Amino acid sequence: MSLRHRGPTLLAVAAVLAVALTGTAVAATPSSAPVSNAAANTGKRSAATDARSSSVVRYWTAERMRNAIPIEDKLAKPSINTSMPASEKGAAGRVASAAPPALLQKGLAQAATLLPGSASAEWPGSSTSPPGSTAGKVFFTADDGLNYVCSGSTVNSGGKNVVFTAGHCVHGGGATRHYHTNWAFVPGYRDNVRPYGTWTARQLWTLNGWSNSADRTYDIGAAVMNTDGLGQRIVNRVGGQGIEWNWPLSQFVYQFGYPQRTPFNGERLRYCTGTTFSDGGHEGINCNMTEGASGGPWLDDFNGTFGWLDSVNSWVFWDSNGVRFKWNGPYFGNGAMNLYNAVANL
Amino acid sequence: MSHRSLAAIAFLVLAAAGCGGGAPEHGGSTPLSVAEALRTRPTGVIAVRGNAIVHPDGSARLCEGLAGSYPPQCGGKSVAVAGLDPGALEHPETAGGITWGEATLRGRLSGDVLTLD
Repeated sequence: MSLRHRGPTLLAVAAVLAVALTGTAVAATPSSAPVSNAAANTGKRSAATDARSSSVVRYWTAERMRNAIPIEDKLAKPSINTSMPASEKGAAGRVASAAPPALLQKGLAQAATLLPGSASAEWPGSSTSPPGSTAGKVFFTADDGLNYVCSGSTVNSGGKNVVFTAGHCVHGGGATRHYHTNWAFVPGYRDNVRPYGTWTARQLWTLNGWSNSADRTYDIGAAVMNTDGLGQRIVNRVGGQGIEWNWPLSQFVYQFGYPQRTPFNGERLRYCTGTTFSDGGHEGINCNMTEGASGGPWLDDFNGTFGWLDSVNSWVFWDSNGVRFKWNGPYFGNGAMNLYNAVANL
Repeated sequence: MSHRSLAAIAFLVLAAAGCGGGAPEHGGSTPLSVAEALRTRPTGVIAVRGNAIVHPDGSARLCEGLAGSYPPQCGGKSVAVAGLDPGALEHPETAGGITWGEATLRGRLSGDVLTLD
């Protein structure tokens, strides 16, 4: 019996247990390594070749990625039962990035020296080396029956199978809404080329504050991915960024995404750079990326290849002329830590 | 002044403030945000400003913010809007069946439904 066939209640209990069991293990001091427990996950993973996974891959043809028609598909739908606000701070923690040997041979030490600031630029690096390979496009069908596009990033974990994005990229937000379906991630997407194929999710996760109340303080989402057709885990194919929580809100970050609204077309990874600031308690950054960039990673201490996920694109703002100029992202506090700990070893 | 006197004064001030009863009215020229409207629930016709999302079936919501997927989704607190003309939106855009843009709407709030005046 695969995990996806279990009821949401059991999954929620599993989530709480996961938080309880791993909460102190990862929420450690900076530079702490992830807890590796791959053996415990072996019996729970779902092969990407099962019928449901294959149907999602087939669904997202190039044409549907532009203009899609919805179909029905159900994923497991756990959410985190946390009593503390996502913004509540505790001990700072970090989990380091990971790169598979094949990618390490492609000159990962090359640092990004171009700082576009708030006028986003196309990422100049390869789409088959991090961060070009760890970032990707997210495709899903919402409960209104319409298809949407977001952005996301792989994150290193014991399970080597997690993608982080915005909460609204996995769930509609609020008690009357539902988890999205047909959820797929295309790492390294560029001009409709999918160097690592289309990956499907076996579980979608968000915080209760998002799924119950659409509170953007909690607009963080995670997907536990199926393996590919060869049984490989996504982080072992494309690499995984690090992640941090309870770090100071103001950081110099590289902000990535696939903006699709005009003047962009969503075909290439773009990025802004800047120092984040408090914007009504949320993280803010000045950037002209447009809709479609949601869920894209904000990487702190980025070295041109890897950094630590410090937030994700959440809300976009525009001026009186309709020009997009600013994004907000949720502060990664204890909520982000709980979410990470819940999915890290699935 | 004794603590007892201060407590008595505080009680009288609070009691007087409560004499008006009911929800506050808001018909002024400065529109409320969606969150303010839902929190204060004014009676009568109110003006509310937010980000409107209109679905292909004509159903619409006025939202606190815009979650930046493409097309965008309703972000944060929201109210359903009855009778919204997409032409009322500022900088309206349409993609994937969704029309969105900012709007200042005048109507009456009942529950989480804003019925336009």
